[in-house]
Amino acid sequence: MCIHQNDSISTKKWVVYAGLFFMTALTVLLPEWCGAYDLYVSSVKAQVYRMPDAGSEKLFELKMGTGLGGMKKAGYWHQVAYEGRVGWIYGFQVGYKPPVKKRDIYGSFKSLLEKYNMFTSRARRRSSAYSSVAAARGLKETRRHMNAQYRLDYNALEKMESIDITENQAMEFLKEGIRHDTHQ
Amino acid sequence: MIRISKWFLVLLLIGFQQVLPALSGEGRQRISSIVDTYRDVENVEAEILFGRELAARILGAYGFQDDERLNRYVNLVGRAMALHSGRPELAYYFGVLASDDINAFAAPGGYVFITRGALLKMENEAQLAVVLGHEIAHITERHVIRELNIKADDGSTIAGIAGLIGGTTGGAVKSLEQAMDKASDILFRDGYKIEDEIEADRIGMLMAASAGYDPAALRNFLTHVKRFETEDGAYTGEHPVHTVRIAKMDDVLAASGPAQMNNATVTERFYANVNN
Repeated sequence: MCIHQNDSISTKKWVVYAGLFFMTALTVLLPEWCGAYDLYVSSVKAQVYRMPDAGSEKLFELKMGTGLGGMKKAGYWHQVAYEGRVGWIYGFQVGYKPPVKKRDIYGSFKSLLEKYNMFTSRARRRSSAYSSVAAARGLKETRRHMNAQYRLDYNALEKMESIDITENQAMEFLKEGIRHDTHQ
Repeated sequence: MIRISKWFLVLLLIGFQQVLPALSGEGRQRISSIVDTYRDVENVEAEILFGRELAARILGAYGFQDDERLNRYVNLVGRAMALHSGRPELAYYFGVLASDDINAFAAPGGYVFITRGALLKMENEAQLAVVLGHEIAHITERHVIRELNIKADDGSTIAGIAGLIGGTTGGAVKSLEQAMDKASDILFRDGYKIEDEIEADRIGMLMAASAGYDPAALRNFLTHVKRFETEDGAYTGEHPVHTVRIAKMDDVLAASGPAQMNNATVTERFYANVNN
């Protein structure tokens, strides 16, 4: 009688252990097994459609950095779940990691250029010859050789980089063009 | 106790049956795809520095079309498109090249160029947008960087570039020199692999559709350019397989749905800004 009681207690204990193991395995790996995976919106905004077809109904819009659950991939599309809603999003507008913020990169980019010996130099401004420009930049000799056979135009490059357009301006410009065209 | 062990073994077996698929095949593929270092700040910075050098070469080779209004217009279109790209963390710069060739270039890190000749052959803003989208896709998909195939210790390509740029040894500098020359060869002489062109077409079209432009504009532009090519032989650019690309674009339009949309072409504003 006593032996049977002990057996029963041990059985329950082992069932609990096994159950715990089983549940843990499922909790950790079930999302992967079922096909769920983390995704983040990597474009400024992204539409979620009812079907994997841009002609289908637009369900909602997500902003950059929004985390969502990927369910499956079909062609160029991911089926995603967000706050209980399910739809389809273009694959190129999502990534497996949160996007890096622009300020994280460009906040330190100036100092990076300085480190690379490519940034401002008074002598560079005085000079007009491309080879002199490169020399005046203080590029290390070896790195200057890197571009020796090529004509480099940093002045034009800086002109390009100086065109100041904010994201809002670009977005407003786009909306205005699309709106005007659609109304015609 | 023997009975208990059997129970346990059965449960254990069932548990592993559930777990195994996740640890192999598709599950493992997903886990590995998450181990992706290209978004790390240091690597993005290296990519920009590398691309900036390459951009200076492109400008040196073709010359800059110093037309402030035209460049601002191209930048407005390009940056609006870039907001719909998969990597808006990059600052994108767009420049018009003073060349009558029909061509466009992308240097890693966000530098995009289009020739005056290409602009003059375009018929609307959607064509400009989708061509710029195609070039943006070369950047977002890191086609040049991948082609260079510089591996870091962890196997990531872009970390390899970061290592070269940060490197001070003679070997690192030499490798950086070779990488820059190879990248120049891809842009100026060899062109991208056909699969990279097709991928850039697809993403450019979907980006245009997402922004609100007619995604078929790329197909229309290439068809238009192809006509020029056969008429006077003037276009001998780096995209010789237009027929294949056009066929693939039709597949994209059919498969992804944008063909059903009645998106904008924005013709009037294009001609107001691009003096044909």
